[in-house]
Amino acid sequence: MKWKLNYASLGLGGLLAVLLLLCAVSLWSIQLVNVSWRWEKHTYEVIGQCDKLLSAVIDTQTAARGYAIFGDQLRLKRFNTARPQIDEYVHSIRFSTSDNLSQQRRLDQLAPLLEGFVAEMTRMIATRVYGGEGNRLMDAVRQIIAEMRSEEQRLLIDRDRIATAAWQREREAVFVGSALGVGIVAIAFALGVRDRRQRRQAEVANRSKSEFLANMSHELRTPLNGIIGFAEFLVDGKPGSVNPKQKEYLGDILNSGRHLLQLINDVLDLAKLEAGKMKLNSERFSLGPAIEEVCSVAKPIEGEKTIHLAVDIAPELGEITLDRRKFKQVLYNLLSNAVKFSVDGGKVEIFVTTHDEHRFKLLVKDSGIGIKPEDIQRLFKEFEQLDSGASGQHRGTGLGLVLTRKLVELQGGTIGVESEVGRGSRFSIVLPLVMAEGSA
Amino acid sequence: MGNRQSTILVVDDNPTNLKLAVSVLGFEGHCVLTATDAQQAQAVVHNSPPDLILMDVGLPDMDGLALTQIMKTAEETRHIIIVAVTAFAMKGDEEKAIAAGCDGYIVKPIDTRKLPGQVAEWLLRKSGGTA
Repeated sequence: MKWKLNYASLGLGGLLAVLLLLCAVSLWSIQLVNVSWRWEKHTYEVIGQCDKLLSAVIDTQTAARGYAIFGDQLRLKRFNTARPQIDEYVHSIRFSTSDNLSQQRRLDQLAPLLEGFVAEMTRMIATRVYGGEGNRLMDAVRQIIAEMRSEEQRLLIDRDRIATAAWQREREAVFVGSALGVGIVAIAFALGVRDRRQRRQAEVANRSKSEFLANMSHELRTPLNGIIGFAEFLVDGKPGSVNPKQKEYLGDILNSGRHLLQLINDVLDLAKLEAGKMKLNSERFSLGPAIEEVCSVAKPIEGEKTIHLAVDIAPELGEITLDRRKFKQVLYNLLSNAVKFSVDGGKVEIFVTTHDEHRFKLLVKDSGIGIKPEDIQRLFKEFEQLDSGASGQHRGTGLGLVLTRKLVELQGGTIGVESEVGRGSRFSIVLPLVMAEGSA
Repeated sequence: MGNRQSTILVVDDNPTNLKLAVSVLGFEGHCVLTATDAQQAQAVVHNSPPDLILMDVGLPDMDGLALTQIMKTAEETRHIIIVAVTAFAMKGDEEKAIAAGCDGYIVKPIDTRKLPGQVAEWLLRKSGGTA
């Protein structure tokens, strides 16, 4: 049996592919979200550091200004605590934003300003003189820190957007993937159901065909029983003598009836073969008697023409194990063809020889009309009756050789032919000595 | 041919086929009775028991093999030789016929040249067995 489209496995494969894709998309999205989260956390940290820096700057200024006014120790202490924090926070911001060029540039701008600011505040503490320079520097510092902060805010929004997009995509992927998976399973299921139904219908149709052919065969044989039977009875002169002309015509009726019967048998056999219903019954039997039986049946009808039949079986070939009936049917087909296409007084020979260790060869050789080379190709095909130039005389079913070929092949054999127009034909079959188990 | 005259019942629903069997077997000198269905066949067997029945398996009112089974189980008809006649040349038909109790089996179309010899053989086999 050839490879057949299986919808269940196809559906499963599709589902697996979708799941794998979904997995990949999910992993990617999660990775993106994860990175974004880390960056967001980082950004919040930088924003926090900026805020701390600003409050350290404010604390420094407030303490310096307070000290300038009141000259108290508490404010001086506050100033001394806040001032080193400025450097500390600048340092940590520089470290945190080391990958961000614009923030580094701002820090570069900020550094001299802060330096000046701290110097001004220190001077204010020392001189206790309040000056406008401090406010100016303070505003510049505020401005730059605000810029840095908003830069970080902008980054935050960007990173949040990436994470949100990743989430969105993930959600879509899960939704689309699930829908696709369900869809694939549903389609595979529906196709499977349809496939099964079609197969069942085909089985039913095939069974009805076989039944029809069996019934047909029965119905056709019933009237043939009367046609062949009475023609035979009359030709034999049993109810009374017939004159030669009458006998000839009765013979024609008889032959036509037998031809029709052969046709019915061939069609039925071919239908059985095609439906795979032809069963083989292997049994052990002697070649000699089986061939003799076929020869006695395949001989031409008495008085029609004389054909010399010779059989030669290699002495080492005794018993074979094949389907005896099918073997005889094959031989009968070949032999009756040989007889049919031989002229009066012709010779038909059967040679049986050893082919190899496991096989034997049966050759049916006639001295008949022969077959044209271009016709040999068509010989074993259905409904190909060759135009023998005397077809009216040599009518056959056109199925005989097809059936023969199929019966030979069914038993594990091969069939071949050589022929020369006007000289005769040689049909040879090679069959196993013992039919393989399970070829039925 | 020196055939002993026997009584033969031919059961077939087709009149032409019935006539053929009657002609062929009558020519051999047998006394041929006919029946076109199972019911008639049973009546004939009851009134004038034959030596042999040629039983068509496809009868209008009953399967010929079922009728064979009935006759082969009844004490008074068991001895009658029954030969199944079928138009099917299907594998397994012969086994079915034998399983139903038939003594023989022939396939339609009947061979008018062989039938007399076959019938003689069945009759001989039976009488040889009982004598």
